[in-house]
Amino acid sequence: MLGAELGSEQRQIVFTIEHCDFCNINNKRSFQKGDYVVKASGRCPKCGRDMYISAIYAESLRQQA
Amino acid sequence: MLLFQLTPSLGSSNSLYSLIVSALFWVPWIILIFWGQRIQVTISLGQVSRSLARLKLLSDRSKQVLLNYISNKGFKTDITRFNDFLEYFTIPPVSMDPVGVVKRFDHILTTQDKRIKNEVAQLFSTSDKIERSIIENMVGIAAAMNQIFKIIRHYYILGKKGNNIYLLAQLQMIMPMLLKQADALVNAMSTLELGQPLGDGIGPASVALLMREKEKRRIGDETVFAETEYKGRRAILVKAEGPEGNVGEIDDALEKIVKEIYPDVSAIIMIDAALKLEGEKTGDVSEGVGAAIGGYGIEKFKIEQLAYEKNIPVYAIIVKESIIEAIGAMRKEIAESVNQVQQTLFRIIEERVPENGRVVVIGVGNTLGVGQ
Ligand SMILES: [Zn+2]
Repeated sequence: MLGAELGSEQRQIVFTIEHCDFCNINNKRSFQKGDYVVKASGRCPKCGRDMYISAIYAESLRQQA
Repeated sequence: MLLFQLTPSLGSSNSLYSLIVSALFWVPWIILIFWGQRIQVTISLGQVSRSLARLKLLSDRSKQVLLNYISNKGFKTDITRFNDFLEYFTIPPVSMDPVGVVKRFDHILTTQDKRIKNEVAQLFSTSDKIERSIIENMVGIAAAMNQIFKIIRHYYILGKKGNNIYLLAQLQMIMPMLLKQADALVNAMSTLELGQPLGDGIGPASVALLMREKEKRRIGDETVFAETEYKGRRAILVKAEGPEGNVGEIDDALEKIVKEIYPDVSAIIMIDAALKLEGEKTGDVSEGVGAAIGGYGIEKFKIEQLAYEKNIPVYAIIVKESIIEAIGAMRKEIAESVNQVQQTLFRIIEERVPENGRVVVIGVGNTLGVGQ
């Protein structure tokens, strides 16, 4: 209750963007603990190379809806 | 006034009715004349006390979040010592004789920093670097909330005691802004808990992406650098060591680089988040000159001094954001400014750094959730 009240204005979801430099592909998924920018994460669906995290950002739920 | 003029003609047939109507007008009038200020004070007091209660709630919550985080990790902590620690203070140096005040301030802040780190290490024994930096950041927020609450309470009680309408009016005016920032500060704790990048981390993030797959070297405490090349210019990339919540010792690292490692640096470029003016768009990128770095001004002073001594121009690239966006999780608009930051950076390097020249690029800010 308290959390909902305090966070009502900034309720948001955090996403992690995985990127492949070779194919210029971005894969957007929800943030998991331990993620950080430049960390190797995931396989490129096109070329199979390792991807890395190029961004982690928050979007507000209002924007999503 | 209109009512006053109308009452005689209305009430001429019924004097009691006219008396009541005029009393309805006169009584509040008299009350307002004699007790108007009192009433205003009471209203202000009510409003400020409600805001104060909320501030107290936020302050308590910040402590609770921190203690929950710690107990979830299985650390035990001494609550009395923890509460004492929140009262920890730092006395700024005297500036009557300003010669060398920055050095003295620097010394005091370094002592404070070490002290806080030691205290955190003692209160919550953890060897994990990320965990420790998160706890340090959280303790910072809890201590700040404690301080904000106490200062506002001080002025509230002062205003109440002296029926000081002006003091209360000032409190009433700053309260909405203050509460918003306090809210953001406490909300930022969940961002810290998860180790997500903050809005302030755009500088380190822009530099980290350029550092990827380059050989990184440590320089001083919690600061790293790497070398890369762009169109025949060599760029030394500097940032705080991540993904822990560090800001690094940028000034000392820069001094070492320019004085000891690469004496041929021909430009310094600093990338940082900067406060936007209301009406400006979040994530807008601007370019300028001067040392782009916040804080008490010690790092800024040292960098300016160094640049002046060595006659190296300092360029700045800033990303606009509000204070609330800077202390919270990095927003999409900010994260997406990285491309424009890098384009601007490359353009500055190409225009202002001669071929075969060397440039230092610094990503300034808290590097939580940003590796290298
Ligand atoms: Zn690929």
